[in-house]
Amino acid sequence: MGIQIARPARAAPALRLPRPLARHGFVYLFVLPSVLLLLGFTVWPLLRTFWLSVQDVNLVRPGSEFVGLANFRTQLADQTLFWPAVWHSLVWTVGSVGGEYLLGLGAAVLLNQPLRGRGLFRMLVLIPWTVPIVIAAMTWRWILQPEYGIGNVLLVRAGLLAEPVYWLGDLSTALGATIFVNVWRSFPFYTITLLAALQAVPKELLEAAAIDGASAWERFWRITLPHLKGVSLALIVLHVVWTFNNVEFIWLLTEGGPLHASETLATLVYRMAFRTFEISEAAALSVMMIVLLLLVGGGYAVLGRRREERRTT
Amino acid sequence: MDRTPSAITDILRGAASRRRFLGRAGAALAAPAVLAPVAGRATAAAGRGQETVELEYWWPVAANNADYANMVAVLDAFQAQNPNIRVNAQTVSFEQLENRVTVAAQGGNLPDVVWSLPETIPTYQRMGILADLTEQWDAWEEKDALYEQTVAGITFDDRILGGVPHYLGIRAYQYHADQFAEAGVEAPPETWDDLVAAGLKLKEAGIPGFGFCGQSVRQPQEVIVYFWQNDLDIAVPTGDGTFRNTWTDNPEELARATEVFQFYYDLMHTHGIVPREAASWGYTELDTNLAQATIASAVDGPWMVGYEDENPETMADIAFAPIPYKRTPATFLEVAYQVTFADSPHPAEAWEFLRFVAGREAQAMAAYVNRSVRSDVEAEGKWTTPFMDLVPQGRAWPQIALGQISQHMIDAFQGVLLEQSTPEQAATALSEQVNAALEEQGQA
Repeated sequence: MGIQIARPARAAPALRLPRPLARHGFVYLFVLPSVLLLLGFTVWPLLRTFWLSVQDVNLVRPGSEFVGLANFRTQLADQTLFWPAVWHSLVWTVGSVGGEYLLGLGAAVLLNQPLRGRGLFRMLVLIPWTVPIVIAAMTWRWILQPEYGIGNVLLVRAGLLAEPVYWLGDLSTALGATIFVNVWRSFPFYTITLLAALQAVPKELLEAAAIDGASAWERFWRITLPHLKGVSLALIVLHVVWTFNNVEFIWLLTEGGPLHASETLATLVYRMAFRTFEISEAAALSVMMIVLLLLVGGGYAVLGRRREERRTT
Repeated sequence: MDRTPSAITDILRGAASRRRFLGRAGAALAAPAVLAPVAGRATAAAGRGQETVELEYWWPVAANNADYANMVAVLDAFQAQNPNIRVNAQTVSFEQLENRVTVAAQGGNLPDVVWSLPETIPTYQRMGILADLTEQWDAWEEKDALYEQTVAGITFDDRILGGVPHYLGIRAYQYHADQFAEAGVEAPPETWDDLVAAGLKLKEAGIPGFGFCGQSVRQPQEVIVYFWQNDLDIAVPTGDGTFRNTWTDNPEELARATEVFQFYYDLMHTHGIVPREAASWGYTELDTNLAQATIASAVDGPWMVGYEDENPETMADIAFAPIPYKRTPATFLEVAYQVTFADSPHPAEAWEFLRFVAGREAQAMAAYVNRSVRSDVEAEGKWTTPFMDLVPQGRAWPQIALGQISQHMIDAFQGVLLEQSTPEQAATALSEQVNAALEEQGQA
């Protein structure tokens, strides 16, 4: 009598997940909230902005219609607000970032020296960065007032000015004064970041160069500065983006005035969206700003890749 | 009577500890997220078995505002009479109120009630977000006690939209009497020419005679008065809810509009009565300069009383007169409104609140008695009578959305004051820009 072996009942087919999901399911689960946040708070608003830019929407007029690129053409043809704002944005961004970098680097080099009370100075230099923007702007508005501002009083008493100047209210000085205040507030961030990078410059290299007779300037130019290149590039690109998009500081200091003399693209977008309710034109301006900043970001990526290639060859 | 005081008023009276307040604040922040899906914004009043409705209310009254305690007292009085309504007041600055409402309207999360300036009402009406209160208004017994000019701002085609007036900020000519006396100016100026004459005497005495705003929300409010005084308006109704600026249609009107720009230019440049910096002054600079007697006079509001504490010496000689005029006396009525919206989930409670703040009891309280919108509330005093006497000549904005138009007004006057354009060029450009804006807004 042969032995019969019972065949096992066929098991129900198990739910088969796609291989990547099966292997990394938990990873996707953990990433999901970030992806959802990104989609909800970045991608969706961006898509909405693009959509609005090709519509004709004014919040105080019911209805909307598709107008294609008309809003872009309107802006590009606007010689009174758009093109001056483009110029002011460039001056504001280059002036601010350039000033911040130079001042930040100078302060970092000084604070990297074996000074007495260096710790205290390092702490003090951070103060402008820690002051909230609103308070900094209000304080500087007061300091720069011609009638009762302490800044003008000191400059006149020191003989540097014949009479008080309305720095934030004059067509020729408003943008410059705004840049000055922005530089004052932001340079500590550069100082602290560059100071950290300076401390990573190999001391033996500097000592060897000194023994070989290199002057202090040559050591700085040929050894220190090249070591700061990576940090500097990242700092500058980040601050170009932040400064180009900055609304609050200019708005709090001058509201883009007088007569739009300190109006940048960012403040123009704010003005159009929330003061004059020209939402579609504001969206078109925003899209143009995004494109400009993508070009800056793209340039940074290209530079970074070239640097990486040079390093590996 | 049962009272349901707010957390803010508790703190103000010292009845709550900071920890308790922070606890409440934390709970208040967390509560909407937890409770909203379950019960909307209504919560059960513990121990009473009665529903408490929370009215979300945005107002510009900050804790450091001189009127804060008085305004909170109004909320307390309302809540004392309406224990089932809790007013959750959130402070939003004047500059941000319109922005916040605009954004909230787009997101569909408007509060129940917002303190609103007159120039925002037509904008909200154009956005279609205001509640139609015509029925409640018609049934309200006290409505006839409100000044007619204050009701005009919420009347659209015989319907009452949005809210009720609750606060009157009338502009008057304010001057330092001692400085005038020192310069030999015997009486405040009555006309534009008088203002120039007085300013020249003050200038001889080394005192800047007058000041105005070159920008900020106050600038259009100031210059519109001079257009009214020269028998013009920034836009006139043309029927069916449309408007038009008619200056360029009529050479006489254009000449009168040009006169207004010329008047501003002359005050600053020809006569040197107004400091050149005023071309870029906002309301903070104007008020501060008047309070510190850096300028001898300005057109300003009753809120200047708030500067007396900080500047007791320089504010001691402040005196008042009607605003100097050209053809027709006029002043700006800054009527603040309490506004509710069509999508408010608590229309009955919101109306209850609106009716209360415009009612006689609230208007007789310290917060409003000097600036009441009601003709049956009378008060006397240095900071009351001179302003209330000007109500008959008071005017308000035409019912147009002012966002773009205000900006054009600021640009036009700054262009003249900063010598970038002539008065006639500015008048012509402003007229054309106003009509273009009206067309873009669908109001032409």
